[in-house]
Amino acid sequence: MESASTKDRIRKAIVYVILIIMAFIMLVPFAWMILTALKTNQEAISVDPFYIFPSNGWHWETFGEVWKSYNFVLLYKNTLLMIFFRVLCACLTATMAGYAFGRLNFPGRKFLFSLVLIQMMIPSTIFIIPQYLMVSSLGWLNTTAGLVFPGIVTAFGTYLLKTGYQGLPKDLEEAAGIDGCNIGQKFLLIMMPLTRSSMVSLGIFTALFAFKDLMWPMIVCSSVQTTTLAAGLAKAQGQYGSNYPQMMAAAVLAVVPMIVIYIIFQKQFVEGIATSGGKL
Amino acid sequence: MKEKKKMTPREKNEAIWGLAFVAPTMIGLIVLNFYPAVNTVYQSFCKTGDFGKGNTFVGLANYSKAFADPEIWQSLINTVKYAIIEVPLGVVIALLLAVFLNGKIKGVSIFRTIFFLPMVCAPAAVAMVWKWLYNQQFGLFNNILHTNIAWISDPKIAWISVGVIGVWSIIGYNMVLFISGLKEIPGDYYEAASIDGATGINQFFNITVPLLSPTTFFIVQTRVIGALTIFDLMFMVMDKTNAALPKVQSTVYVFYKYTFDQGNKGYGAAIVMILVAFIMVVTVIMQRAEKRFVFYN
Amino acid sequence: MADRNDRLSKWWKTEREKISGISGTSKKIGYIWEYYKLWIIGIVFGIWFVTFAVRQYTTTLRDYWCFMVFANTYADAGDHSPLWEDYVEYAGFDLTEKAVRFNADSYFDYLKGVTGNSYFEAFVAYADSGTLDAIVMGRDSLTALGKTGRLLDLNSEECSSIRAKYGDRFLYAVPLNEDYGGKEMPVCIDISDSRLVSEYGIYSEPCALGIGALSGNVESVELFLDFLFEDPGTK
Repeated sequence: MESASTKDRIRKAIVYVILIIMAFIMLVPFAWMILTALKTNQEAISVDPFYIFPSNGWHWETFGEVWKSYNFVLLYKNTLLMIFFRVLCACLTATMAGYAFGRLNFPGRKFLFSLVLIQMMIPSTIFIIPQYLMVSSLGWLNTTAGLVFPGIVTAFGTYLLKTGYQGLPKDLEEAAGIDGCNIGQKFLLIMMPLTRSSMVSLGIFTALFAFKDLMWPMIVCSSVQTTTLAAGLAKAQGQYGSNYPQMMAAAVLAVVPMIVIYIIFQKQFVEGIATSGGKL
Repeated sequence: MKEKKKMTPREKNEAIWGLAFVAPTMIGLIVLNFYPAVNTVYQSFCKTGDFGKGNTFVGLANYSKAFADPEIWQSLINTVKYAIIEVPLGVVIALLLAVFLNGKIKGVSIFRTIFFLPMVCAPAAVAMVWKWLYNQQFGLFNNILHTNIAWISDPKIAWISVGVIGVWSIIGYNMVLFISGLKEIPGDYYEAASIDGATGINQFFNITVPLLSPTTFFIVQTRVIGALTIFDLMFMVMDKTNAALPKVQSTVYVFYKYTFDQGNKGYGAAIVMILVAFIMVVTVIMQRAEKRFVFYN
Repeated sequence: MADRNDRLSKWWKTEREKISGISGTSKKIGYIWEYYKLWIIGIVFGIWFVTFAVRQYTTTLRDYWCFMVFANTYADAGDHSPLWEDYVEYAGFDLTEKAVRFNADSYFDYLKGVTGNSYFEAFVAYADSGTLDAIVMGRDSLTALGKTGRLLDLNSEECSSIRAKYGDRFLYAVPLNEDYGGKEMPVCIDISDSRLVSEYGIYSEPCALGIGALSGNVESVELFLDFLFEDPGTK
C-alpha cells in the first residue's frame, strides 16, 4: 500500500509539472498582448534593446483611451447577436443532420455525407463573392441576418455530431423503440440530451470562428453601426496606423467576453454524460 | 427503384425521417457552398476576362499549365510536410492534456481555460510573439540555445518552425474536442476496470483509446483536411521577401496569390481543383482505414 | 393522409376538453405554456423572421447609382459627407430609387503586398461581383493595382466619352496577364489637381481614379469626374 501511494504521488507530480509547463507556454501570447498594451509604442516595436516588461511605467490608461475611442458597447452587442444566432442555427441544423447520418438509414446517405466532407476540403475564400451577391440581393447588407447568413449550416458541426451520435450505445434506441416512441421523439427526448458535450463544443467553436471572422463582416457590414468587434477593431487599426499598444489593448478588451463565455460553458462539459452514465 | 420496392414500412419511415433531418443542412450547403463551388469548377476551364472583357473558354489549358508548374508541385509537397508535423503532434499532445485534465486534478477549470486562451488571442499577437521568439539576433530561442539559426528564413528548417506554430495553435482546439469525447465515455467502464485492478496506464490503453477512437478519428480527419488547406499561418509569420517562402508556402497560399493578388481566377480555380482532388484521395484512404481502427459500440 | 387528419382532429378535441376542464384563465395559459412553449417560441420566432426578411427584401435599395471606394484616406469621404452630398446634388440622383455609396474605410496598398489584408479582400469582393464602380487611391498604388485587370480598360467602348474629355490624364500600366504582350494599357485617371484634393482635401498625395472592370454605371463615374473638374466659377 505504502509503495503504491508514493508511486501515485510521483505520477501526480509529473502530471502537474507537465500541465504547468504547458500552461506557461500557452499563456505566453496572451501575456504578451497585455504587456504590449501597457508599453509605449516605441518600446513595443523596439527589438534592440528588447523589452519584455514596460520600462517607462505601466500605461494602464491605454485601456481607457481605447474604450473611449471605439464604440465598444455597440460592437459587443452586434457581435453577441451574431454569435447567438449562428450558434443557434448551427446547433439546430447540425444536431438533426448528425443524428440522421449517425443513426438512421436512408437512401443517398453515403453520397450526402461525402458532400459534407467535400465542403470542408474547399478553401472558404471561394464562397465569399457568391455569398455576398446572395446577401446583397436579399437586401440583408448591414443587418444581423446578413452576418449570420454563411453560418446557418455547418459541415464541420454535422460531422462532429455524427461522430457523437455514432459513439452512443446501440441498445439505447431499441429500448425507446419498444416504448412506442417515433423517431422524432426518440431523437428529441433520448438521443439529443446525451450528446450535450459535443453540442457544447460545437457551440464554442461556432462562437469562436464567428468571433474571429474578419472578412465577412467587413464585406457585408460596411457601416460602423452594424459591424462586429473583429471588423470594427480592424477598421480602427487602419485609422490608428500601427499603434501596437492600442491595437493590443483593444484586442484584450475584445477577447474578454469570449473567455467569460468559455468559462460559463465549460461547466456543461463536466456535467456531460460521465455523471449520468451510471444510470443508463 | 428496385430497392424502394423492397423497403418495409419501418425502413420507409426511417428513410423519410432521415431525409427530413438532413434536408436543412443539405439545402444550406448546396446553396451556400456547392453552387459557388460549381461556379469555380466552370471558371477553372476559362481564361479569366480582365479589364472588363468577358471570360473565354479554354478547356484544360489551366490544368496543363498547373501540372507543368513546379511551384504548384512544391507547394503540394510543402503542404504535406506541414500536415506531417501538425497532425500527429497536435493530436498526441492534446490527447495527453485532455486525459490529465479528465483525472482528479486540482484547478482543472483554470488549466482548461488557460489551454483555451491561445484560441481567442488576436492573430497579430500570436504572430508577433512567434516572430520575436524566432528572431535571429534577439530571439529567445537563439539566446537560450546560444545558436545563430535563421529559424524562419532558412529554407531547410523554416517549414519545421512554421509547423511548430501550427501545433501550438491547434492544441487547445483538439483538446476541447477530446474532453467532450472523454465526457461521453460512460463512467461505469472505468469503475468496472478499477474493480478488476487495472491501473492508469492500462486503463488508458484498454478503455480510453478504443472508446475514444471515434473522436480521435474525427479529429485526425478534420485536422488532416484543415492542415492541407492551411493558409493564414504562412502570411502571418513569413514576409513576402522571405527567402524560405517558396519552400514553405502552401497550395492555398499559391491559390490565393493567383486569385486575389493577381486576379487570375481561372488559374487559381484550377489549383484549388487539384488540391481538392488530392484531399479527396487522402480522405477516401482514411475512410477505408476507419473500419479497421475505429471502435463503435 | 386521412389517417393524419384523423389524428390531428382527435388531438385537437382532447386538448380542448382538457383546457376547458381547467379552471381559471391564468392556469389555462400556464397549461398551454407548459406543454407547447417550444412550439409557441418557434412559431413566434418564425413569424418574426419571415416579416423581417420580407421587409428587408421590399424596402432595401439593392441597386446603386454609384458605388465608390476611397482607399487609404482618413478624411471624411463616406456617405453623407460634404463630398457625397455635393455629388448627389450635382448629379441629381433620385435616392428613393437607387443608393449612392461612398466607402472610405479601406486601407491597402498593392505595392506593399496585400496577402491576407481583409480590406483588399473586401475590395476584391466588390470588384469581382460587379458592385464596384470606381476606386480612388494614391496614384502609384492604383496604377500597380491596375495590372491585375480589376480596373476597366479605358480604351474600351464604354469609356469613349471619358476618353474624349480626360484622355490626357490617363495613367498606364502593363498587365500581369501575358496575353497582352507587355503592352501598356490605360487603367486610371489622374485626379491630383481636381477639387477632390484642392477643395475637399480627401487626399494630400497625388491620387487617381480607376473604374471597376465589371461596373455597369460608367456614366455615374463620368458624372463624378465632371463634378470634380467643374469650374468653381460656374457654381
